[in-house]
Amino acid sequence: MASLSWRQFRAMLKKDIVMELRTKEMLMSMGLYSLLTMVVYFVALSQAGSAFDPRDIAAGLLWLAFIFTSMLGLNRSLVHEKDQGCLEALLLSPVDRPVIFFGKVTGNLIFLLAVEALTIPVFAFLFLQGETVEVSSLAFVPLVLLAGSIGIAGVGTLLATMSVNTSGKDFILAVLFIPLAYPLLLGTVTATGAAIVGGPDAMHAFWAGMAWVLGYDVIMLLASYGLYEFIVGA
Amino acid sequence: MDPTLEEVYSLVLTQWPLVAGAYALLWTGLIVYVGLALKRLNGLGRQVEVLEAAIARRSGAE
Amino acid sequence: MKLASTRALVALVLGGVLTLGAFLGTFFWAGVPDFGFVRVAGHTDSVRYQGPFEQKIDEARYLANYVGYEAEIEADGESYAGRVVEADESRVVVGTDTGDAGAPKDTIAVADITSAVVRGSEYGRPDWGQKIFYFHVPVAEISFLVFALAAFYGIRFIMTRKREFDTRARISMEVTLTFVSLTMMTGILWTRAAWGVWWEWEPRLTTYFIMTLLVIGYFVLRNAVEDEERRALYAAAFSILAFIDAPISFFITRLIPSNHPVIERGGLEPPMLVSFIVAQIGMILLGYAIYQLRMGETMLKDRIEHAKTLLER
Repeated sequence: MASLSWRQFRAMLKKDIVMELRTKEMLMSMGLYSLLTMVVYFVALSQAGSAFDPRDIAAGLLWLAFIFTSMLGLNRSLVHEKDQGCLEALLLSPVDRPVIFFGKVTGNLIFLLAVEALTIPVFAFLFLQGETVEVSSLAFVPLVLLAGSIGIAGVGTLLATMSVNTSGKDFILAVLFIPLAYPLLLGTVTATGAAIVGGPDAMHAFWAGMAWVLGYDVIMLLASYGLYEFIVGA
Repeated sequence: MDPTLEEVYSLVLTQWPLVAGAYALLWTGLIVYVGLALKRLNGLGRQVEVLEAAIARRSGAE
Repeated sequence: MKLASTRALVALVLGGVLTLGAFLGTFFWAGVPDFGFVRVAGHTDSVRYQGPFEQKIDEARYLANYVGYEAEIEADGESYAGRVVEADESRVVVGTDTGDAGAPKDTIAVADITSAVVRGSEYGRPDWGQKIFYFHVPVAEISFLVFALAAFYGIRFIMTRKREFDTRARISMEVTLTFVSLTMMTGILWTRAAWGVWWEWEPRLTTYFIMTLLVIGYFVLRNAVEDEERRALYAAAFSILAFIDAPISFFITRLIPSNHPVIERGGLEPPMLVSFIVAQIGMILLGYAIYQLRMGETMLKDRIEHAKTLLER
C-alpha cells in the first residue's frame, strides 16, 4: 500500500508541476510580485539614506516578501484546483486524503522555494551590495528557508483550501494566515538575521530561531494534516 | 499634608486617571454587554409568549 | 431552557456581588505595594519611609538637582557641610538655611569642587497602577479559559457534527472576544501607568495581540462562508489552529525574557491575595453567566423560528 500511496503522491506532484510548466502562471505572478515588493522596499527605505545597516533589516524584508508572495501563490494554486474541478475529481478518485494534503503541500513548497531562490539574489543585488557578510554562517540560510517554507506551505495549504470556498478569498486568507504564521515568522526572521549578520553569537541565535521554526512546523503540520481531511470534503 | 509626603505622592498620583479609566472601561464594558444581552433575552421571551399563545389559540380553534 | 437562564441569573448575581466585593477590597483593604523608591530632601514619619540615603555626586554641576538636600562638599582642600540653598552651573551656596537671613552661608564655585556627597530620605514609591492588576489578570485568565472552551467545542463539533456544538463554540468565541477586548483595554492603560508607554512590542503583549487578531479572524471567516455546515466546519478547524497561540501567549513570559510581570508564589500580602482570588472567582462566574445568557438567547431564537414555521403551516 505504501508504494501505491507514493505513486499517487508522485502523480499529484507531477500534475501540479506539469500544469505549472505549461502555463507558468504561478511562478510568473509570484516572481513578479516579489520583484515589485523590492521596488516598494526601495521607496520605503529611500528616505532613510545610509542611516541604518541593511544587513540588520534584510531578514525582515525578505520574509515580508516571502509571506505575501506565498499567500498569492497559495490562493492561486487552490483557486485553480477549484475552478477546474480538480479537487472534486481527486476526492472522488480512490486517493487517500493524506496523500492529497501532502501532494498539495509539496507542490506549494516547491513553487515557494523556487520563488525564494529567485528573490534572494535579486534582493542581495539591490540592497546588500558592498556589505560584508560572513560566508560561514550565510551557508545556513537555505536551512531556514526550507524549514520556514514547510511551515508556510503546511498551514497555508489548509487555510487556502478553506478560503477559496469563502466570499473574499484572498482577504480571508490574509486575515487567517498572517496571525497564525506569527510564531513562524518570529523564528525565521531571528534565524535568518543571525545567519546574515554573523558574529560570535550568531549560531546560538540561529538555532534558537530554528527551534521555534521546527517546533512550529511539527505542531502545525500535524494539526493541519489532521484537520485537512475534514476541511477538504466539506 | 506634610510637604515631604506630598512630594512622594505627587510623583505617583499622576497614575490615577489611568487606574480610573481602566476600571471605568471594564465596568461599562461588562455592564453594557450584560445589559444588552438581558434586554434582548427579555424581548425574545415576550415574543415566545405571544407566539406560543397564538399557537395555542389556533390549535384550540381547530 | 428556563433552567439555563435561571442558572445564568444566579451566576450573574453571584458574580456581580463577588466582583463588587473584590473591587471594594482592591481599593479599601489591600495596600498599595512599593514599586522602586523616590528620594526627597526632607524627612517625615511615614510607613513608606525606607531610611536615609547617601549619594556621591560624580559631577559637581549635578548639585543643581539637589537643592534642599544636606550636602558635604570638599573644594580647594576645605570642607563644607550644610543644606544646599542655591545651586546652578557655576556656583553652589551651602548654609544652614534656618530661614534666618543672617545665617552663615558659603558660596563655592562649581569648578573648585573636588568631591560632594548629598544626604536625604528614601521613600517607597506607591504603585497605584498595580490596582489594575486585580481585574486585568482575572479577565485575561477567563479569556484564555473561554478560548480553550471554544476550541474544545470545535473538536466536539468535528467529531459529532452536531449543530449544538457549533453554537456553543461560536458563543464561547464571542465571550472570548469580549474578555480579550477588556484585557486589552485595561492592559494598555496599565502599560501606560507602569512603563510610561501605551504600547510596547513585548512578547506577552505581541502574542496576546495576535490572539486578538485570531479571534477577530474567526468571526471574519464565519461571515464569509455561506453554507451553514461548511461554515461550522471551517470555524471549528480554525478555532483549533488558532488556539495553539493561546498557550504560547500564556507561557511566553516564563520562556523569553519579558517585561511583563509574572505572579510569584507568596508574592502577595493576604489582603491583596484575597481580593485577587475573589476577583478571579467573580470573573469566572460572570463569564459563565454571560455564556449562559447568550446560549439562552440563541435557544430562544431557535424556539421562535420553530414556532413561526408552525404558525405558517
